[in-house]
Amino acid sequence: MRKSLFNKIILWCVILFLLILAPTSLDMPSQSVVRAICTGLAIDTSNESGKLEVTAQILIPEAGGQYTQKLSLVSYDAKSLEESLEMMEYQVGKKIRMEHCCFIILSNAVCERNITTILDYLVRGNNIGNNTLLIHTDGKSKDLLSATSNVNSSEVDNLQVISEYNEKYLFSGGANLLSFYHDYLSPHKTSYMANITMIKDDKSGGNGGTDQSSGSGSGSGSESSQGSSSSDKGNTQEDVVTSDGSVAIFYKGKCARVVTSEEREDFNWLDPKVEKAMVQIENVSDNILKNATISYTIERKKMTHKFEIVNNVPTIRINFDLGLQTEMVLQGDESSLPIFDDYINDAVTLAFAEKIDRAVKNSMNIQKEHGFDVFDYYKEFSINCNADWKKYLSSLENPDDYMKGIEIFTEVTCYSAF
Amino acid sequence: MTELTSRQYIIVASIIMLTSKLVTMPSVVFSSASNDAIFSVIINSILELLLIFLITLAIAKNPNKGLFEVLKSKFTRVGAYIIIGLIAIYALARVTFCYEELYSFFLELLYDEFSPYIFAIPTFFVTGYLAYKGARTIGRTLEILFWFILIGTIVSVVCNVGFMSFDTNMPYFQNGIMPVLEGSGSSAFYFGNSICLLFFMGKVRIDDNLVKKTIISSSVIALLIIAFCFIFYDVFGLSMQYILFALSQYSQYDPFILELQRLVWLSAIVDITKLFCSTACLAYCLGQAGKTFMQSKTTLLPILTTFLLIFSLATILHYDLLVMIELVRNYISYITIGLITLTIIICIILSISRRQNAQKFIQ
Amino acid sequence: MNIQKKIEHLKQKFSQTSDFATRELVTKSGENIAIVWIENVVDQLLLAQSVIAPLQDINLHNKNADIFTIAKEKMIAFSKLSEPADEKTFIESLLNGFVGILFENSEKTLIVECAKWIVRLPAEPPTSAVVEGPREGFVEDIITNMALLRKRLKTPNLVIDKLKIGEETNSQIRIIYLKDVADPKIVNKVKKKLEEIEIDGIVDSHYLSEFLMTGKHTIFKQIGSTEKPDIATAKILEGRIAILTDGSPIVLTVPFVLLEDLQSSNDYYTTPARATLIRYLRLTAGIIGILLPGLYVALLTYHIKAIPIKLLITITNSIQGIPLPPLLEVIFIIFLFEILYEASLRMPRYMGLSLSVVGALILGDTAVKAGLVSPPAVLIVAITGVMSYTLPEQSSQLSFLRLIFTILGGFLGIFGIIVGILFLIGYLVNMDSYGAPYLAPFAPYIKADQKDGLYRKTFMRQRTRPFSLQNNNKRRQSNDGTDE
Repeated sequence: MRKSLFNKIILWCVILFLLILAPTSLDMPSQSVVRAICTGLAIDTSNESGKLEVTAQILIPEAGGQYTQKLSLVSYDAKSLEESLEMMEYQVGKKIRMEHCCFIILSNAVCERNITTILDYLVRGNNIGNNTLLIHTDGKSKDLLSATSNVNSSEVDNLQVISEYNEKYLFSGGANLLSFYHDYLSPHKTSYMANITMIKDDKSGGNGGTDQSSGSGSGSGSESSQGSSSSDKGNTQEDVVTSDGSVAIFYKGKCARVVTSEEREDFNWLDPKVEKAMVQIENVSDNILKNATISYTIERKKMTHKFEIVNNVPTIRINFDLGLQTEMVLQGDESSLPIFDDYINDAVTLAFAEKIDRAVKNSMNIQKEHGFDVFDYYKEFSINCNADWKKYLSSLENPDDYMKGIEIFTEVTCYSAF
Repeated sequence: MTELTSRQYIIVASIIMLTSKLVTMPSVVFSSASNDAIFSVIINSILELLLIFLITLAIAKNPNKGLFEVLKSKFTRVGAYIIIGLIAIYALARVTFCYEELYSFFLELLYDEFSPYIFAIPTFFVTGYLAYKGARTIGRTLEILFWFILIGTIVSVVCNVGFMSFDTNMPYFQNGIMPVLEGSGSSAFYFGNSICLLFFMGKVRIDDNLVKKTIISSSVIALLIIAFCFIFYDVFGLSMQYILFALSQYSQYDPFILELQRLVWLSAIVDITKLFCSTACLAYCLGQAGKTFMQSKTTLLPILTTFLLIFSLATILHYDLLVMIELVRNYISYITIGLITLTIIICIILSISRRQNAQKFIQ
Repeated sequence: MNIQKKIEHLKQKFSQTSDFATRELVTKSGENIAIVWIENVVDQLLLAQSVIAPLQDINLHNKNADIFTIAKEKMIAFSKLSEPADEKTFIESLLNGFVGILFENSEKTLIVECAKWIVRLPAEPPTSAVVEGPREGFVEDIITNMALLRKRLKTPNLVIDKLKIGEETNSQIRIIYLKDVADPKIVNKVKKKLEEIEIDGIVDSHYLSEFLMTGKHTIFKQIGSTEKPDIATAKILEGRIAILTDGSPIVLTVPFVLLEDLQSSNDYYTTPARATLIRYLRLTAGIIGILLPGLYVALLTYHIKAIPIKLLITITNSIQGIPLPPLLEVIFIIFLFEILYEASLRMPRYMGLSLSVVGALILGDTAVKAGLVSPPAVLIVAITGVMSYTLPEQSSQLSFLRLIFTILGGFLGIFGIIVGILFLIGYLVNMDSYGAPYLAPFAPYIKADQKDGLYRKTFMRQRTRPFSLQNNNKRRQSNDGTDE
């Protein structure tokens, strides 16, 4: 009897609870109607000194709208990202949600200051995903954002495709919010992000670098005035989002240098993750060929590092084992000789050794010049010779300048990939 | 009366072991031990395995008798009350922490705003229902959900293996062994859950291989936790300092599934289910303690009292997880170490005594 | 007693029954005999040829000879011929298609069975149709049903216990089980439960199933039911008890576990791999059928962050301008769906077809075009509606749960759904049916029963009867139950 009374009390409590919730729940509209969904963010410097021009790409639903709908842009100038977003919320009349934000584009001017001070608001909040792509652009980031405003255009995907490609085949391709912070907080304090530019062109097509896919696709450009959302029409010129393979390298949160595609090829040699590449060796002369130009695909690249500190000089010895496949052999104006096997001999190995040595020196010089440590040699030295490394660091006037004293030597072995 | 099969006991032990280890524990350990956090986790896991081994041994050696009776015969009535009281206080802190964690996890992961009171009523209702219905219901419910939880956890761990570099936190022990010990000490609270397993004494059908099986499965769970922490620390490195809820961030890391990034789903649902289950287990244990103290025949009143206590405690702490974590790191964990030591001693004493009225059950 | 008085007495008993017929005869030797019967249940031809004619033909050469004995001899060809002990039995027999024979100046009466019930032929039932397998189904006649079972279980171990329930209907009930297999405790419990029933009438088996429930009355089915003799046979072989009710084509079986509804007779007439796949599909469809509308509402109302952007854009655009919030919208469509389902069941078949066209095409399409509901919501409710019918026996429970989870999703979001799932599992694991845990063999986990659980192994491997049921003989095949 008592039990059934208790059950009844529980049942009534549940019903009461549901009744309390009912009025609000039954009338609760979809979040997508009452929230502004931000899909991308562009941060520029404002004309007013010290202010940021923040542009958000926002989905404004249209009744019966299609999947190919264009996204609107909203801009606001303010001192901080937080303030801009807050002011945008007033403009749009909805709370801006950042969960669907796929990328944050930062202009060159913005990157001259420590961007972690700008992005701190985003990282600390739970609103945005860690995997949000960070993109550096030479021009105005707002323009790049407007080129990706058409959801169905390939430009949105293009940013991802480029980043994905970069991650796989090139050093330091895609950086997301968390990996940027990860590197920024590490002792080497060096982080990087892809440099993606936008060109205006009559026809779509890539004019990218030598060894990466270039973005192609179409989307109409848009201009929006401050404080208003706009969806552009009538601009016939097409914007093409493209990456020439250049990378913006950040040191202590500031953009220290944009490494060009040629320079980046030099960096690629030092990156163990980049395995495949196409390489051209010129002026190969031996008993068969004279001043020949040979193209190789590096099918496998195995790097063996040796870190040591000799007489307080940190030294890195890198042994490259390259598995090569001959692609093309040219001698003067003549086409390739009938060489069927892979053409690999001492002359080729020597040519490779010279090329790699040059590239490594170049990349090290750039690193030494700006003080950044792209491949985290700090950690490698700490692991391999911790005591000596600490001694070395303490001997420096400024321990952050440790890169300057590092010497690097390379050795190359080539073999046929087959 | 045996209410749990040995398989159910093993599952309950595994789920209790997994409780909140994948949510806030990694960041709490990291904040103390920094790069060497993984060693703190390993040390604590070994300690927990030892605890589970001894508790299971004690349970296996004392079949058909409740915890209170067994303790009473060894440590007198007053001693038994004191021991159960201490464990109950720990269980109360643990359940309250679980509730707060559950609430904060929901708020972080799925909701923009969510009243703690609206959260509390259904949570108390469902965990209270399971706890009230007893060990058999809890055992069976967990039996149904176990594979779902385990596979979900493994998937969310494995998904991130690709981003590992294995040397992110190297070199280890840069500041000696002290940070590791500090990390262990400040997170011991998370590793003491198994103490509550004592309340299942006399309710488990004892198989020949119960202890062996429990240790094997617990070791697997411990390895899973260690693997999780290792991958987690490796993937996030020093950016851990921005992270409180490990699992929620974990699933968002993959940069190339932007469109399908909602793996957060899996972790959310799996982890929330897991938290619910373990909360129900802990609430059951607390209910049993309450039953002993109140000398009540039914579990209804102790359970209601328990939830009233949890609710009051959570309200006093304003449902603020950070406050609770600070308390845990600075005080409660160190008290837990004492409790774990005490439990180990008690279990050794209970295990040494001859197995009385041992009865074998063959299914 | 005078034969006229006897007839009058009987007529009084059947005063309101217009189909009570009597006929008085005079034998060749001049004795008065009366025959009584219920017109609608007696085979008139058989009555004329095998009862009236032989009785009229009686010629008592010896005056000492007893007319009763002679008449009995004449009726010897009938399989069911008896002398009722009392008037009650006599009347009951008449109601069951017997013809009563009354004699002048004799207290004795004779009854012979001439019943001719209107019986449907054992046809394939509309539910649980099979692609390959037996197509017979139970009918409303208990004798035919027993014959169908007996045809499959030719063993003296088959026990058929008789019972009669219903003061007015006097419904015949049969409890059927295998003597050495079924647990006597359960048999006694079932008998006791049935004997305790005091009701004016049992119209269908479903009346009984509610009396047979052991625990609390819930929305969940606690008694198994089938329309097919092959399924009933399989269940009896597993050690279950079948209960047949006269007038109902549904045979009840106890104990019942939830898994039974996940299995279908088709599973056993196809390859184990196929059966396993289908079982997983059914389970998945069932789970989606319960949770999808709730998840949809929860996602749109609370967690849009969990929806991928491109899907979100599509959904957002389609719900733009819909006056109802997602919860009400989905509830409205579920309501519409249930109404259509109910109406199509009740409507005459020729109208039902047009109704489904009207329902699906016109109502759905017009509602979307009018901007009352959004296409995703219609799609989701339609999908879940279809999915829940992959478990036809559980469809009513599933639609109830679907509504509950939709409300939970709308009120509390994913949190509500998780709470609901946990409560549901906690509730189900607590239930049992005649000693069999409701969610067996998953909770508690029974390894031996997994062979015919979510997956099906070959019959060679299924050597034991389910351990989740209490039964006396676990062994089905000559080898022991251990796995190789």
